[in-house]
Amino acid sequence: MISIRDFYFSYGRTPVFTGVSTTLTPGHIYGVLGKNGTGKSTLLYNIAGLLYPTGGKITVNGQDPGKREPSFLRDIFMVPEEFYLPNISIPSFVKYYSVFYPKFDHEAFSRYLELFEIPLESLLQGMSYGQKKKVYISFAVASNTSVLLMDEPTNGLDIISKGQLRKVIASAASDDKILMISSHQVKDLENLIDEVVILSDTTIVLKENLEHVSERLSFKLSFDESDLHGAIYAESVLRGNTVVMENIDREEGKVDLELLYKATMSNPLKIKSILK
Amino acid sequence: MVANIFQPARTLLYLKKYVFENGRSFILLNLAIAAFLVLWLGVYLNFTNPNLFSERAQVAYYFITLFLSGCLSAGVLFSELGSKDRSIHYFLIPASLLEKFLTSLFFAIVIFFISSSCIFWLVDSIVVIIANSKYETHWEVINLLSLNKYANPFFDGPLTDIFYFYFPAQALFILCSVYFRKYALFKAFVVVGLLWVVGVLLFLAYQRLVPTGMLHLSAGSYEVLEANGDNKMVVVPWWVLVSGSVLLRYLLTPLLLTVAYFRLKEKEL
Repeated sequence: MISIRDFYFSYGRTPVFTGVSTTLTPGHIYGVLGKNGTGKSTLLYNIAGLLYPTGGKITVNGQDPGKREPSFLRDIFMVPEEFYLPNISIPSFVKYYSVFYPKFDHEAFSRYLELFEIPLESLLQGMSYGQKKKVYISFAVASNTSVLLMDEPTNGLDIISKGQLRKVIASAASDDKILMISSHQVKDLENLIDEVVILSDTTIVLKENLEHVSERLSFKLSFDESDLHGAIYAESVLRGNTVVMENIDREEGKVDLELLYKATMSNPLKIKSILK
Repeated sequence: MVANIFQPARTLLYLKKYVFENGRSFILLNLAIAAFLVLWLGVYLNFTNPNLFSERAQVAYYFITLFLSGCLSAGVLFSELGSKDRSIHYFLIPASLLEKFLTSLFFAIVIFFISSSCIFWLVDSIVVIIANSKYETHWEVINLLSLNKYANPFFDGPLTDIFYFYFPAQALFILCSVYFRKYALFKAFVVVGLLWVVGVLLFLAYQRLVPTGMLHLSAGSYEVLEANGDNKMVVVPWWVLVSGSVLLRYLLTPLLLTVAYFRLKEKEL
């Protein structure tokens, strides 16, 4: 479990988080959304113990991340946006690094590489950024840590690879794991996450289960102008509008993450009151 | 229960990883030292002065090489922390910071000292043989295991006393490489320069404030010279002398390295 209590963080005099409190529980894939500079990476870095809160407290499975103790580090893995891989072969990388992760699954690692179409015996040297990222993500997921943080994992991946990534991440989800994925590409997280965390103005403006969102809000393409009157958020598209409305009839529907994000950013109080 | 401070098995795993990843750059560093020595002493071989290869000169070359290469390599020991991706990599490897730090020190101080000394001995042996045949001299290759039998070209005192300067200087460069995020090596030179200036200023202040006299370092006393010849002797208490000597000789290096460790512990991205 990740517990964030009265969390403050600032870069110099610029506040990034002011008094954020929330709890992230195992068994969920959290999608962290927000504009550039809203602190998505900063939040992940604080959870990983790479940055220290300027106020408040973060605990991960009861441990203080800032201490960077081996018992903490062996059970958390972070895939940063900018990552480093030594110039060695994949087998050597696995040989020298997997030993630090007691639950590392070698078979799963090979499976993920196969899915990404990367030969197991390849050299990391000379690989493209995208290929290296696939190796890194495969290793991260195969490490089977109880907390997996991914900062913009889809950056640098082509469309096909994004689909492969989705499969790999989905296979990593289990009841005892917390997966946190940050992205400013909202579409990339669709059909992948089950909880959404939206950051804005130094705080978490929305943290909600997507099933609950779909019960309370409806997202649809409307050709009827009268729908706009009851809409919480509307956006004109070719020959109509995409609208976010209160799901009064509790009809089953799919959450459009991008619309949810835009609706939340435009009217956070309204969205919160409906989802309450 | 996971030992969070130090675990020998985990340290060994980290050491293996470190050797595998840094072995090549370590070999290159040693080759660079060898190349530097070949270039330097090779140029000297073209001069006509045969004394350039005397034991006294060889000792000087050894310590100059050791100071230069030891401090330069120490100044970039933690340079990886200057880049975000490598910092993340370093901090998130599941080993304790003490294990990571000790591994780096083991290579930067112990292994480096042994390897660079071996390389010096190797190059020096070849160069001295060539010099002896060229100048028809009988210089001996210096024995690095018994340095005190040679004259000290830098100051009065046994040659091994130079190590009391070398190891703290190297530790200072290591501290700077941890402390500064960018351009640590250049900043380390600035720090050394500033320390030098402070030293000079303190010496000037000492000369102005203390009455004219003579310092007897070995006896730990200062003789104040009076115009009438009635000189006075100021004796420094023995415990001050012993404490100062122990601090400078044996505690300064561990102290600087301890500061570096705690600085590393509190370091963020």
